[in-house]
Amino acid sequence: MNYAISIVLATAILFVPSITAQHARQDAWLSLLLAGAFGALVTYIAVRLALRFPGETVVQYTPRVLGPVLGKLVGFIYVYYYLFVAYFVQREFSELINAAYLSRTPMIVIICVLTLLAVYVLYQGLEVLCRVNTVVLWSMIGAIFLIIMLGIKEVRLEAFLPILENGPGPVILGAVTPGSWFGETTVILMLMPFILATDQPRMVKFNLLAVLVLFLVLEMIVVAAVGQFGAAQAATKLFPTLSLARHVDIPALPIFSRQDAVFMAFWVAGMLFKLTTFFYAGTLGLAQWLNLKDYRPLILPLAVVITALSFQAWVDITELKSFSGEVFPFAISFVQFILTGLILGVAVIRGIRPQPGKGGEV
Amino acid sequence: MAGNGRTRFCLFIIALLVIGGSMGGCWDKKEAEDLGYVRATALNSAPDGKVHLLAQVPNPATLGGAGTARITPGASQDAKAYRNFEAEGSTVFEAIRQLALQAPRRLFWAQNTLVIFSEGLTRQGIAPHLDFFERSMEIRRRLNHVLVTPNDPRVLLDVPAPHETIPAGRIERIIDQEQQTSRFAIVTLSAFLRMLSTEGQDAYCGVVRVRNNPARPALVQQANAPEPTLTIELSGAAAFRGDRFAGYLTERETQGLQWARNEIRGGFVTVPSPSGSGRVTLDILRGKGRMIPAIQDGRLLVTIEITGVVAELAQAEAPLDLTRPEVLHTLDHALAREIEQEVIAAANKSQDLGADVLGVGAAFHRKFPREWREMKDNWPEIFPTVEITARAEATIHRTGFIQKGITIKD
Repeated sequence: MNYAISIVLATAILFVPSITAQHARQDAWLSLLLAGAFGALVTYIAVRLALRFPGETVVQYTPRVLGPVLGKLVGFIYVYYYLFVAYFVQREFSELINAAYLSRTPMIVIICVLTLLAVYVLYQGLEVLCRVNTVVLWSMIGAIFLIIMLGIKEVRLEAFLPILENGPGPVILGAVTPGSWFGETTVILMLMPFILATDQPRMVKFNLLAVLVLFLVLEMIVVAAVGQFGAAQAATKLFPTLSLARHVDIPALPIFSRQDAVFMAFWVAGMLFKLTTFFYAGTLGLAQWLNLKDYRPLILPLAVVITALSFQAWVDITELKSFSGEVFPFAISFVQFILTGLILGVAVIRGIRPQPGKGGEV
Repeated sequence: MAGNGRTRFCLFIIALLVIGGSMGGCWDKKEAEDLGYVRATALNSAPDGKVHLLAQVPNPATLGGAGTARITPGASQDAKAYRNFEAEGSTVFEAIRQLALQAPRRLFWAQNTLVIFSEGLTRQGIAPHLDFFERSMEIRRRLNHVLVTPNDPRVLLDVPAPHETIPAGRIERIIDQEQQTSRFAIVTLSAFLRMLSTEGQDAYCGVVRVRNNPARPALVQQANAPEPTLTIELSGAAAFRGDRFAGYLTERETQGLQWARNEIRGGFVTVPSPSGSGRVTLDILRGKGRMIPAIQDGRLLVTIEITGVVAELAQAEAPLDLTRPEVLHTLDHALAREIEQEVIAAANKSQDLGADVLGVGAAFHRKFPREWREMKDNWPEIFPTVEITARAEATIHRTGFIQKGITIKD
């Protein structure tokens, strides 16, 4: 469960609140309700599919489900999807660090630091990743919770009125971005084989719970951002959560002012974690797609590839931000929702089962 | 990661080189001793559509150590505790970079707490300049207060501040004391930007003025510590229409405005004594303000409701017999009426100025979104016609240490 929460959280809290507020204005919190429901649906489909083939990853079983040619193609789309999210994370990370703190440091340095750490974790394997996460995730949620609580007196409830001023349209539009972000839990399609067979039956519950926690955290942030800045200001902020952290000021306790560095520390750790997870899924997926025995030889070459991609894909931050509102959600939802649903549907109709001897294997 | 001795040694050397190489710092290093911490920024209009910028920077050499901060003219202090750097530029940022031609340190805005606009500049509109303050990553929007001054910022930020090391510090400390009076508005940069961007809400902010120092004549005889001729005072509020200055609110109107905006954290009210002679001053502890819009037969009505006002009897000029509860109830009533009048005074002023600082439009927007869509384009014309009424409820909970003041024997 931890896993699923943190892979989504770190990037979602960066842009999503303001993208949602741009569309839905003061109804951003309603958008998140919708998005949460959509995320739960996507997650449910993904977990069902993963559980149908508990011993294999999506790259391994799609050729059997969809036929060798189409299956290989879809498998490659999944591999690319994981790497795509990975280099999106790299770029988002460096944009924030550049914009907020290290404006003169070349972006390549920032990306390299994060990527080299991710490479190191990948060589160490999945277990290291999960153990680190246990610490990072809850400290990050703790940090967010603290920021929200310290600012809670500043939340003006009238900022949420009038409700549904322009009908439900903007609310639905605002739900698209966070909805697709919630769907990133589909990374479970690559990770299911590594989950203990005894834990696997509980994965549906765990993942839905993860979506719930994610929803609550994002909802808190959106409510705090709109309540404290007003809908108009929340929508114009490039990094609303960081602005919230910088917004804390309790005159009687000045120690809580200017503590955004603490929040940033956990956020950076969260970004590393997210990058590592998707990078791992992509690397492992590619190794399996090429029928390699070990994924490790691919780590460094792929690290170079995604770093290069993260550079050439977007020109500047405005492009990155509009991309994450207008293109990214649809691109990843296509994989998370449509492709995953398709594979599950075909597998059920054709009655394809795991190959004997592979089910439930760790 | 296991490895033989040689690999380990190589790794150790590489690590040493990497660490050693990075010890010099990075591209973005900012050393505390190389920074000039700006505490106050003042903007004024300059000829040719330029903006004049003044940045007040404390001089670290004079800070610390008892007595070194005395900056009154004639004192045996040769260095001022601060420097006011000034520059002109066509944009705020250009002016900031112009300052780098004079300032020996990199001016650093993260510790800035005051953004002061001259009245002249606000009459021309401040939106173009505000963008910088909204965009900058260095400026803390919540920790900055916005003020307007009718005076020249160069004079304002050079008025000696005998109890504080620098004038900016003095203004900050006065702002901290706002809850004693509620007679001036405290508006953070964040709140100011929020008001400017909210539909049906005009912005306001506090006002800081230069005054002749009333204490001066009495103290000129004291040779070694002459009293400065000028002093500063925060009082009232400046109302904006859009991004342009619309007019000043008096101290009383400002308290009324803060009641309506639910910003009251203290203050005082003086009412005629129920005993018939003299006045009674009440110290406000808390209270809540709420705006209730209504549309009746096409007329726009707003009731500003002030509830839960708790006050303390601070002084009665003539003896009050508080052994009888009715006396206090009469006083409660008088307090509530006076609060209502303050609110109405603020409402009338804002309607006269055509600056909806109370956020009446925003209240209609929240409650009547459909009707608002038709009004919003004509709101400046509609706003002065809105019928605003006030209703207050107050209780005096405490009366100090006595029940009945002394009666002076004849």
